[in-house]
Amino acid sequence: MMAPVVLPDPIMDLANRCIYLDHAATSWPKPKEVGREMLRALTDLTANAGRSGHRAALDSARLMFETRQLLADLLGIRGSENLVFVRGCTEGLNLVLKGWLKPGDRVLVSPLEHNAVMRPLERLKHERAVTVETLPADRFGRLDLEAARAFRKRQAKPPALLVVQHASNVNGVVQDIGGLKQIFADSPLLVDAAQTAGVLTIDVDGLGIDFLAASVHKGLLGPTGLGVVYLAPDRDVLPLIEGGTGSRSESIEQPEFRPDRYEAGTLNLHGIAGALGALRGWRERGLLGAEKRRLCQRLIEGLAAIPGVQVHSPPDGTALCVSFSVAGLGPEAVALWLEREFGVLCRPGLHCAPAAHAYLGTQPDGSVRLSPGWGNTPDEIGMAIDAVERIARG
Amino acid sequence: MSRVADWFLVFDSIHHVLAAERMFRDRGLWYDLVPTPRDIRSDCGMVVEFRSVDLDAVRHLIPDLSPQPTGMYRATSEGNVPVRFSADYPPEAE
Repeated sequence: MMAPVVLPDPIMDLANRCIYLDHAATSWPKPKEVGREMLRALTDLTANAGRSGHRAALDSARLMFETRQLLADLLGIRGSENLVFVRGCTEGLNLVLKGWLKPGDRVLVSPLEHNAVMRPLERLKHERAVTVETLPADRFGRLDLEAARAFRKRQAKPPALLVVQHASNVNGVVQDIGGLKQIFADSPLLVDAAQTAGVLTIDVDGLGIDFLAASVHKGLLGPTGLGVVYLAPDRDVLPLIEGGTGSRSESIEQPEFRPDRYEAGTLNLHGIAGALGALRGWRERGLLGAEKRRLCQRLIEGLAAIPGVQVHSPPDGTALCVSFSVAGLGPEAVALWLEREFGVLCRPGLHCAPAAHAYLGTQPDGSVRLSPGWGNTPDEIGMAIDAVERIARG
Repeated sequence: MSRVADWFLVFDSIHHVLAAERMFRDRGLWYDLVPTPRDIRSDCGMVVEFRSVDLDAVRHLIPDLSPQPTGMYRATSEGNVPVRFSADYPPEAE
């Protein structure tokens, strides 16, 4: 009898010999509970939450309710109906920008904003004559709150919206959300928490944050294809889409109540199940920020000591990812070398944040980003530093 | 099908229903979640069904519900009829 053919598993083969430092793009590995809950949702009897009214549909709705509740608890939100499931952080940011801003509105942003903010704003500049100004910051892009205070005093009218990426996906700079909210107490604030949900403490109610968008697949260690956006109850935002919600079906008007107003169409039940698996373990794991910062600081110190390497992240122990350049080598060449020779997976280029790179002076090439996360060890960081040193030496 | 309860709390959204479910469960009150009766609302949502013996406890629970219910109904031989549900509502007056 012929022996069974065993096909190679390229993903597992790669996993066994790589150092994954691309957590700012998405986390890997995921906690085992993520896969378990997603599999359960796929193989057990599940139905369309909020529709039909039978037990299976009700159980699916309970799964969503529990997930939403856990996310609200994690983000410091009391009324979980104000936390809306979306396709990802980008969709959440789009919902707020397009549903809140009106013709002629003025928006203030940090210099490190992602294209998830800058591209919708660019469209709104053309379609609604929205104007965008950049807040003052230090050389790493960290907002200068004293200068921001003076900036605010010079303005006769408060801006219609402030938009701030809580932590930069380029160089890991963390912004002082509470300090900014104090200065601009009379302006609504949209926080892009793509890099910080599950990583740093976020207290939406305590800080008086008006809007917050987050992804589930990064610091929260859940699956892709799911995000959340918080909309303060006193902020009336137009929905991005309309459609069936399972409620007030007799009306052709979109419901006014939350979360239904913003959740037209069938939600991503299997992604939400995965998020539930991840969230059930977060209290035991704790927030990831302290460990990420330790690993990033070690990277920054190690890389800064290599001749020919320029580090673009602040060396004060606060960064949540690390960007650097190697003299005479493009970021893509360094990244390819890191992967092919040393098994280090990272992200080169502009990181979907050309505005941030323009501010940091790293355009047009961008930089190499190393972003440690859950599961990385100090040994892996040491190996990554050694690899960059060998590359820089040529 | 025979029913063991004859009162309903009505909410806008399934999320609101499930928030109420948690409160009923936490306070040890009997409840069921059933499709919204047609004469209450032509809807594909659900309502919280509870027993008349728990009416007083539910009346005290209602101010703590968030989001709030949009209606309370009692099943009668003439169909489901709306009743007031504020904290000062006297059930014997209905």
